[in-house]
Amino acid sequence: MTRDGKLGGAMLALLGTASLLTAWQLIISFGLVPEASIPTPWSVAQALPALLTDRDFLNGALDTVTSWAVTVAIGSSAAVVIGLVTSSVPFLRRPTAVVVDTFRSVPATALIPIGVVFFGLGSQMKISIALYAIFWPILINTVYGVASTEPMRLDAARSMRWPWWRRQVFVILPSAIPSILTGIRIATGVSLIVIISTELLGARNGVGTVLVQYTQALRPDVVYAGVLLLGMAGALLFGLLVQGERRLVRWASVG
Amino acid sequence: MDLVVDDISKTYGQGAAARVAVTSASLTVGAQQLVSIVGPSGCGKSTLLMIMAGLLKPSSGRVALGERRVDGPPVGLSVVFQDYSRSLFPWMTVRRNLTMAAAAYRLPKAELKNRVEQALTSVGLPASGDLYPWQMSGGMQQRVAIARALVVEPTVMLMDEPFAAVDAQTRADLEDLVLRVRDEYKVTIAFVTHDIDEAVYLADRVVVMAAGPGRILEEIAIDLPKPRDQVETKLDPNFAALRSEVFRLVMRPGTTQKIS
Repeated sequence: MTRDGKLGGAMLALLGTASLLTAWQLIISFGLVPEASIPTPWSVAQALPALLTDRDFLNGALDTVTSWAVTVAIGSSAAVVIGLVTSSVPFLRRPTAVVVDTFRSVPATALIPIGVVFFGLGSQMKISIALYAIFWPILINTVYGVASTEPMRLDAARSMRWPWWRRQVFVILPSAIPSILTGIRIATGVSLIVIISTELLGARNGVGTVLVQYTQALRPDVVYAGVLLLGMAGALLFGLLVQGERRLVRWASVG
Repeated sequence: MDLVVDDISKTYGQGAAARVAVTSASLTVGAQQLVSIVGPSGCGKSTLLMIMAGLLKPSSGRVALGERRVDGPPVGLSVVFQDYSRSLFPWMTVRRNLTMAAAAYRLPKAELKNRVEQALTSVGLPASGDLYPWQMSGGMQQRVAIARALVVEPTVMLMDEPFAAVDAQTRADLEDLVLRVRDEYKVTIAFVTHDIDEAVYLADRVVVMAAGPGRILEEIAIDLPKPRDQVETKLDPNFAALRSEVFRLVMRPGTTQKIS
């Protein structure tokens, strides 16, 4: 992108944010929504420093981020390995498809009560439910990626007398990587949503739990500040993932 | 080493859905010869090449490289595929593409390194090792594909319509490149093409195939002087005569007397 393009982009982003804040303020000023349910942008901004120095919030955030990182790490590696194995064994393909189609239709959040019964209210429950949510999309993307391997490349590898494992590692896996990364990117967002949902619905620790406490203490300004922070963290994360993905599979975009 | 194809047939599918791709094809590619296999689309020439490469099992018949029966990709045989963009590994640099081609050969490191650089030089890309294939033009990518085939110093190189996707000038360059590396690496080549000029220009012998069912129609010796030259050779009246002969066989197999 050119320098002017970047500058223009920044200007547009600034303009968008400014109009959003103005609209927000106007809604309150005109009394469209009672002030008790929407705090003013200014009071939310004022609540930010308090929230960022709140030990409970910081501990909660750490707990959420840890659960989330563990989920993505375990979920991705398990789903990718299982995806690669089931794809390479022809008689496993059909049963895998049936299982995947059945289980992925069950929304993960519907399993929260069962998770609570099984694992209690700790991190184990959060991670298990989130794992369930992200396992299927990554698995499906892995299987799809493997299936998209160019047959001519496999022929080339065979003509070079590559054994099975070398074809898996150096042809099939790289061919599947763009699709796998898409799956992981989706999973990263989904797992964060699911983990925060479990926290809002009863888990003992985490950002969501702290936000529930502030809601009960009638501090919507702090709650909004928290949501704002989560949004910014999510956007940053997404940006980093897309960057990393581009760097890793430069060849895929060119074709 | 001779590459001998003995009475190969290949049928896809079974029963009523069976489709005969090649029927009782026999040919011999003598050591360091270049044999072109030419024919209309659907004549089974690529199928035959894939069987010769050990990538496809014939329904009957056998292929032998020297004394050894081919029942899988043999040592010392390289394949250059039709479409470089689908056969090179885009996630590897050119150098790594070449290095990996010899992965199964367990060469000493220094030796492998030399061979890779030598292959790149032979195809006229001595300074391109660090590029990725997709950063190169089509013609350059096909050179990389040829270099990749040369790294293992093959006794036989099979080429499946390798220049179908490049423009005419590049194609002429690449044809001469094939003749050059044939002499440099002393390699036996079977070259599948649908281009009659190309088949005659390159070959010591042209094998003409016909479709429906795919079969070998005729073999024609090409006794044009060597080295071949894109201008001189093609001005040679013998070239025109041979070209017309092949052309007649490819275009109108029904009018010749030689079908058995």
